[in-house]
Amino acid sequence: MNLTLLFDVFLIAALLLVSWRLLGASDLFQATVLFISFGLFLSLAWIRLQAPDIALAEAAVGAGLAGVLLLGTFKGLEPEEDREGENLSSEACRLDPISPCPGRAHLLLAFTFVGSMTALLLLAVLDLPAEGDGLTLLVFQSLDRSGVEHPVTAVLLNFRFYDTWLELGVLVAAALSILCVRNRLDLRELRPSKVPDVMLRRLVMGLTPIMILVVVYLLWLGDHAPGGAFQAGVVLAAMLILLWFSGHASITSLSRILWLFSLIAGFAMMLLAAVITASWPEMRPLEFAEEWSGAIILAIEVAATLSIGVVLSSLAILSLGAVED
Amino acid sequence: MDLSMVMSTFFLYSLAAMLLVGMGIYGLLTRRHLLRKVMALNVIAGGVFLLLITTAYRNQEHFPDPVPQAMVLTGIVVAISATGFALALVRRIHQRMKDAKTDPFGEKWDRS
Amino acid sequence: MEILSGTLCLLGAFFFMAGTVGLIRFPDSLSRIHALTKADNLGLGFIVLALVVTSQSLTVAFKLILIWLLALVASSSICFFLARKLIHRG
Repeated sequence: MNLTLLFDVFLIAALLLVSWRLLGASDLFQATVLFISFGLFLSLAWIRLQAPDIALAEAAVGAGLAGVLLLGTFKGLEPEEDREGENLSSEACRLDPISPCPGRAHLLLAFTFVGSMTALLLLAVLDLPAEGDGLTLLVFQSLDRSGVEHPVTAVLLNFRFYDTWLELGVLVAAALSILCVRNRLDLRELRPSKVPDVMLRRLVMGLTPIMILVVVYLLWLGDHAPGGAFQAGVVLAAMLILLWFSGHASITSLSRILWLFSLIAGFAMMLLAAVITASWPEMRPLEFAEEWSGAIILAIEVAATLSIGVVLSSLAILSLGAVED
Repeated sequence: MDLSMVMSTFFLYSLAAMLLVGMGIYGLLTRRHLLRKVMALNVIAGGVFLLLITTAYRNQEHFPDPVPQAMVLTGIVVAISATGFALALVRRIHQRMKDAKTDPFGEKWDRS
Repeated sequence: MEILSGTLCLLGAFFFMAGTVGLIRFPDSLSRIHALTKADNLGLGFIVLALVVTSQSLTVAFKLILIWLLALVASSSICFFLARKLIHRG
C-alpha cells in the first residue's frame, strides 16, 4: 500500500459517492451543486491519469459552464413551483405530474438492465489486449511532420482533423437548435435577470485584460504543451458570459450577421482548409504540406477558439437571459 | 514506473468508470425530473470519458496515448453543447406543462 | 530546501483543514464564509510558497504567485457577493 494508491482510492470513493448522492438527493438544488463538485473531482482524476489537457477543459466546462447552465435552468423552473406552494421533494417537483411513479417492477427491470450493461462493460475491459500500446508510437513517429509539438494538438488538428471539424459542426447545430427551441432569431434583446451592480462591473472590467491574456496564452501553449483551441475557447466563453452578466458590451451587442459569422468561423475555416487541400495537386484531401501545416493549424485554431467561445457563451446566455419588457 | 502499479491503477479507475456508467443509466431510467435525467446523462458521459482515459493511461512506456485524449476533449465540448440543448428543451417542456394547466388546448402556441 | 518546502506544505494543509472544520462546524453562513475564505487563502498561500521554493525557474515561480493572487481576488470577491446577498435577504 503506498500513498498514490491511497489517493486513488479516496478520489474514486469521492467520485462514486458524489455521483450517487447527486442522482439520489431529494433536493434538486443540492443535486446541482453536487454536479459541480462531480466535475471538479473528475478533473482531479484527469490530472492523476496524466491528461492535463482534459483536466483544463473539464474544470472550465464540467464544473464551470455546466454549473452555470444547470443553475440557470433550475432558477428558470423554480419560481413557479414555489408560488404554487408545492413542496420540493423529488416526487413533487417532477415535470409530468400525471404519469405514475416508478413501481417495483420498473425498478427491478431498470436494475437488471443496468446490471447486465455493467457486466458487459466489465467483460469488454477484461478483453482489452494486455500489451496494447494503442496509437502512441504512431503518433510520436509522425509528430515532427504534423506542424506542432504537442501530441494531443497534433491528433486534434492534423491526424484526426475530421473529428474536430465535425465537432465544430455539432456546436453550430446545437446553438442554432437552441435558438429554435427558444423561439428567437438572435441574442440581441437578452438581458441578465438582475440589474448588474457597480462592484461586479468594476471587477469584471479589471479581470477582462487578464482573461484575454489567458486566452492568447492558452492558444499559443497548445503548440507545444497542454492547452490549445478548446481550453482557450472555454476561457473566452467564460469571459463573454461575465461581460454580459455584468452589463458590459458582449456578444449580445453584436449584429446578427457578425454573430452568425463568428459562430461558423471555425467550421468555415476547416471547410476552407479541406477544399484547398482537396483541390491541390499531388495532395490527398485533408493532408497538409509539411512546411505549411504549422500556419494552417494556427489559423484553424484561432477561428475554432472564436467559434467555441461564442457558441458556449451563447448557450449560457440563452439559458440565463430574459427579454426585457 | 512499476508496471503492476500502473495496471492496478488502471483496474481501479476502469471499475470506477463502469460503476459511474451503471449509476448514470440507473438514474436515467428511474429518476422522474428531467433536470435529473440530464445530470444522469452527464454522469454516463463522465464514466465513458474515464474509461477512455484509463485505457490511454495504461501505455506507460512512452506517453499516455494521445488519441483517446483528443477524443475525450472533443467529447467534453460536444457533451456540454448537448446538455445546453437538453436544458433548453427542458425549459420549453416546463413552459408547456405550465400552460397546459391554464390553457389546455394550446391556443397560446397556435397564436405565436 | 526539501524540508522547508515540506514544512510549508504541511502548514498549508493545516490551514485548509482549519477552514474545512470551520465550514462544517460554524453555525451560520456568514461565519462559514469567513472561515472558508480566510483560512483557505492562507493555506493556498503556503502551498504556493512551498512550490515556489522548489521550483526551478523564475518564470514558474512568477506564474505560481500570479495564480495565488488571482485566487485571492476571486475568493474575496465571491465572499463579498455571497455575504451581501445573505445580509440583504435578512
